[in-house]
Amino acid sequence: MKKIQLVEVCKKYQTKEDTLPVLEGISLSVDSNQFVCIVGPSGCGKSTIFNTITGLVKQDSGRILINGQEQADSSSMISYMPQKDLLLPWRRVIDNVILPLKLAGVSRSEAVQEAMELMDVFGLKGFEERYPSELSGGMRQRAALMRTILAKKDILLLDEPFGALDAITRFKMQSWLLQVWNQFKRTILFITHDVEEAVYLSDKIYVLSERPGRIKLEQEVNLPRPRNSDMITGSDFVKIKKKVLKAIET
Amino acid sequence: MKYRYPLIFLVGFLLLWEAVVYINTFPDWLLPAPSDVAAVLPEMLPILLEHGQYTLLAAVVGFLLAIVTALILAVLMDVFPVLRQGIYPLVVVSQTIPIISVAPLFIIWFGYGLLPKIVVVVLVCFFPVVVSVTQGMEAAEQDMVNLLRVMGASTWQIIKEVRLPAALPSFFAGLKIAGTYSIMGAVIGEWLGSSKGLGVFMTRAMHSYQFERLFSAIFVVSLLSVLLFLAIELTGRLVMPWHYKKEE
Ligand SMILES: Nc1ncnc2c1ncn2[C@@H]1O[C@H](COP(=O)(O)OP(=O)(O)O)[C@@H](O)[C@H]1O
Ligand SMILES: [Mg+2]
Repeated sequence: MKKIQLVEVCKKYQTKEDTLPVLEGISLSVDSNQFVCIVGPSGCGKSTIFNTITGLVKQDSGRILINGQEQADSSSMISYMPQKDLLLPWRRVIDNVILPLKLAGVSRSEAVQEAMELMDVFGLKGFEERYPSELSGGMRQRAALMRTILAKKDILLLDEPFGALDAITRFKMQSWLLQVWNQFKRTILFITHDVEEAVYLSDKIYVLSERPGRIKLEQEVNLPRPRNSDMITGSDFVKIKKKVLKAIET
Repeated sequence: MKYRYPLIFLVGFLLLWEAVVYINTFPDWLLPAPSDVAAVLPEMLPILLEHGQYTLLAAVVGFLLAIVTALILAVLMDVFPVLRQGIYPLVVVSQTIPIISVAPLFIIWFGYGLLPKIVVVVLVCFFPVVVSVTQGMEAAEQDMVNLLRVMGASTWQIIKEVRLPAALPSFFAGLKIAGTYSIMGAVIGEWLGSSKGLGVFMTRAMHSYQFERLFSAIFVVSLLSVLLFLAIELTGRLVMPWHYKKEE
């Protein structure tokens, strides 16, 4: 079943002097429990795609269907992790991760209990009472991801979650995300500008052009799961990676 | 220790003042030396504290009232942009009215009791608080507000979770200014007519040319202001531990 479907979505930003076309006829779809990546150069409109899906930005034309429904109340089905972690500096880690539950009316004690059981999985055990400013970049990112997952929505939109991390931390986080995904089985749409990351993580990749963003390539990734680091040098992996890179270059 | 340099300069200033009074040719009663003020202080202290009590009461009550009204207005302006556009400029313009010139009216309207002093304090404290809260709320990161929207938060939840906490550092900066104004506002209120308070004490000392008494009252006014300032700073540290952790 199609969880997310975009049909010919177009978006232009109006600035004072002129109009900036950002999305030109974006069509894509994500099936239930699929992990789909969007890759493209920075500034091509990737985050704008997410903003149209969440309803923060209204598309000029085209249709957006969530769970097969147009103009759905996205907040009940979608959990969104923006490019910046946007943890609230005035809330401790524990109160940051349970924020979506609290907003939904779950009592604090119940939400805390649920979160505590997952602290270990997210590598935050012992840091529950810290403030975000006391965490490392990788921990902040994990806390933001935990908040996203704890919201218990079917669909996760992750906008370059590992973009700000160093290569080693990033690789650890990718493997860890796959584990978590395996455990929680959600539908994920994931933005990155890192081709290797996209191939390693996803079932399907959409390659976007320079701005205005158009879809240049839709690439299935039929590598077996669970994925591991040995695959990165395997011939199937390299073949897909080359194909995606070529699409980006041309 | 961070108080070392201010202390050195304060002592230096007092010594200079002392020296000027001894070297000068004008009569000593015109400008008492710090040592003269210090000499009358112990004897004056009970009566100063007696008066200071009333001044402090007017200052603190007015200060708290100003905080509550400023917070309510700031939140309303955030929820209803019409209010923000219509009222905020007027609040700013109202600051051009010299309070000291309208304050005598308060005596006529509200009598010689505590009320007119509280009104003066509220009027001088309201502005710095409302400006600091409003600016702090506006400075809240838009992306954070958007994220909460996507989470399905209501307008009130966004104010409670993001806008007000984001405004806290700015709010406390405003409180420190308003806090020091509050004692001054109460003293001004008492100048205009009162039977009790440091303002009255100062007027009486002035009229009888007992300037060392006047300065001892000034000392108590400063002391109260500093204590209030420290209380606000301490409250800030308790309310926003995250803010001070970030600075460390
Ligand atoms: N609210 C906005 N108003 C005007 N221009 C915008 C706005 N948001 C984004 N843009 C512009 O649209 C383009 C695409 O932005 P974005 O979707 O964030 O790109 P990406 O996430 O791929 O880096 C950028 O050039 C950006 O400057
Ligand atoms: Mg982006």
